Amino acid sequence: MKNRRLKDIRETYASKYGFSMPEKPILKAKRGLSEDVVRQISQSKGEPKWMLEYRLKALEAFNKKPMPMWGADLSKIDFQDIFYFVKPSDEEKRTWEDVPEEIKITFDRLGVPQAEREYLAGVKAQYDSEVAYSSLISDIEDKGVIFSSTDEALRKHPEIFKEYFGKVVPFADNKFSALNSAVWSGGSFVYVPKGVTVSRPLQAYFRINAQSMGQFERTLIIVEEGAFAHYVEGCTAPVYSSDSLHAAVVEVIVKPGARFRYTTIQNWSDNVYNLVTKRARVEKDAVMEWVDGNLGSKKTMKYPSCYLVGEGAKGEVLSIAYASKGQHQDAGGKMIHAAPNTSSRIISKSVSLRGGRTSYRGLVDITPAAPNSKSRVECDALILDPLSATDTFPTMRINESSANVEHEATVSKIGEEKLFYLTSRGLTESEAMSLIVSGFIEPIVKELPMEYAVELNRLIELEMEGSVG
Amino acid sequence: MKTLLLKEKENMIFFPEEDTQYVMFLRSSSTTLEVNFEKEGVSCEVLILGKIKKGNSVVLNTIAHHLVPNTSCLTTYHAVLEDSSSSDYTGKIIIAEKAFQTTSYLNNKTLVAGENVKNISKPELEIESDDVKASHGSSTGRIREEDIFYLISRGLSRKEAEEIIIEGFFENVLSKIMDEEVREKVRAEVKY
Repeated sequence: MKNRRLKDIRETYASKYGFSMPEKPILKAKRGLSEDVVRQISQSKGEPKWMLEYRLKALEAFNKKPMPMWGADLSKIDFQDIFYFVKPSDEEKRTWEDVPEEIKITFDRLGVPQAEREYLAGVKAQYDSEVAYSSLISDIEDKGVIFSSTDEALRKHPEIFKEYFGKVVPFADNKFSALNSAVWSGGSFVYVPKGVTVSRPLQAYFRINAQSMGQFERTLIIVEEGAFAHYVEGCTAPVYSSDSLHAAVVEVIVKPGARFRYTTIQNWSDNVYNLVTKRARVEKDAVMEWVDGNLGSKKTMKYPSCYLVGEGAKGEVLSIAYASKGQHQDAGGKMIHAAPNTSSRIISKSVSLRGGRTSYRGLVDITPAAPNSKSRVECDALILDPLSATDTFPTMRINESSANVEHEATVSKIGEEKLFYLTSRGLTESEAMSLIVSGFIEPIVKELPMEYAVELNRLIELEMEGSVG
Repeated sequence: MKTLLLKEKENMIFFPEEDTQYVMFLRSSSTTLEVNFEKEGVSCEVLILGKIKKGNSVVLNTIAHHLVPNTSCLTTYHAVLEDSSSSDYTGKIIIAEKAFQTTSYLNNKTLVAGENVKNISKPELEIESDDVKASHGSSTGRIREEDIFYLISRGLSRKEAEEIIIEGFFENVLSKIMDEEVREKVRAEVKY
């Protein structure tokens, strides 16, 4: 048994994503959080007065709210030790050539421009606090699709922006949504007009470069009636000794009959606290799907949720978590049924090894306004060695008598019988183990867009050290 | 395996020395039942039936705490909710670091037989060891109209049909009770 040591899938992280570029910000707010910093952010963006007031109200809410007493251990976060705003360049660029050199090198190494050419309808790359590059292929732009940074949307589309901003996730929702609302910068704004189908995914790539940096992107997505789009985001950061903080807020509005899928592959380095609020409002007969992959970060607390407010609305969360040494992935999903005939599904798969801890935390709430609703939750955890741990905390709150709610969870290790069977068929033990793990996460990987599926499969190729002894 | 019939009571903590079945019938109460496995090789079943009548409410917590290797536990809570009744259940399985070869299952089923019911179900797993099998399942649903229709078409009244379905629902748990005397006692309670 002692030779059966799995190679960490993120062992190559430091060489692949862990590099950093010299910091050449054109503006860097001073360390720590204060009213001055908030004013400085707002001023440098030339924001309207209502936004500054909103930020200040949010700051007040943040200061008042206590830290969450549940979930991952966040006691080590020092809010005064973080840089809240680092502006990398003067404006976002439309062509790759115009992007500043350091930023270009970074994204070249991460493979972003190549992915853009091959698979994507549009790309946005955020570097520290602001979006450095964005593009959208022209035939989609012609249909009226807007894909820009949230800052630019506030400048160019103030009416749409003001109508929806902060409506799905109010600033006082939780401590970290308040923090984000006070110091938000960057993020994606997507508007898909009525009936438009965007067949290729829109992609955003978030990169933290500066040390002790807090990234607070704010994403707002509006999918009008009968439209369809798929948004994908990826995240990485350099390996530093001091901790960084990533506290995003994502708001999605899916109008009647529309369908939207939001895919995240979070691959932060192990010094990042990832505390994100993601929520969607799903209207009549609309479909919202969250595909949530958590591979990196030191601690993650993230529970994508769907508020099913229209009759026949459907919500889905597919979640995959991977926790290795020093990591705690506290992830899950929430489904609030607030209209008749709504349905939801949550599938969560987690793998923990080398002392990592994965937790599933979820909520299914069937309100009295939601007769004939259905929900199904499945959580499977794979635990690969005696050092690791896993938890499951689902809550089902059912206040409607016609509801049909099911939940199932299992925890297991890789079965000896399965290993024995595969090795008797001529596979080495390492091949057998990686086959079993790939099979375990397969239901989620197959939902990912091409280039991410390839990447994830490569990450999951588990290797072992030493032979069977 | 010995069978113990428990009364609804606030706090019950057990440290089983031998294989044991804990059986309980719930009507309206707030109950915590904790089984701590501190002796190797012990295997237990916790069988709880709840028939929650009009306007009543039940708060139930069960904890299966595995502290040593080679223990197993099956926790089952089946509840029927009548008009305006409520059930709030938290069922924990905790497997400590050195408790290898543990098997622990938890199953919570709620049958809704009335209107305005409230049901909260929180099955939780906390696993600190790898060589274990643990799982839980929870489901909540109303009596199916198809089943009622079938029974009515066979000449039963609606009330009789519902009663038979509820009886069948409890029978799954009743049949697990090994001690005949206890089983019949609980069966009589369920029918009442």
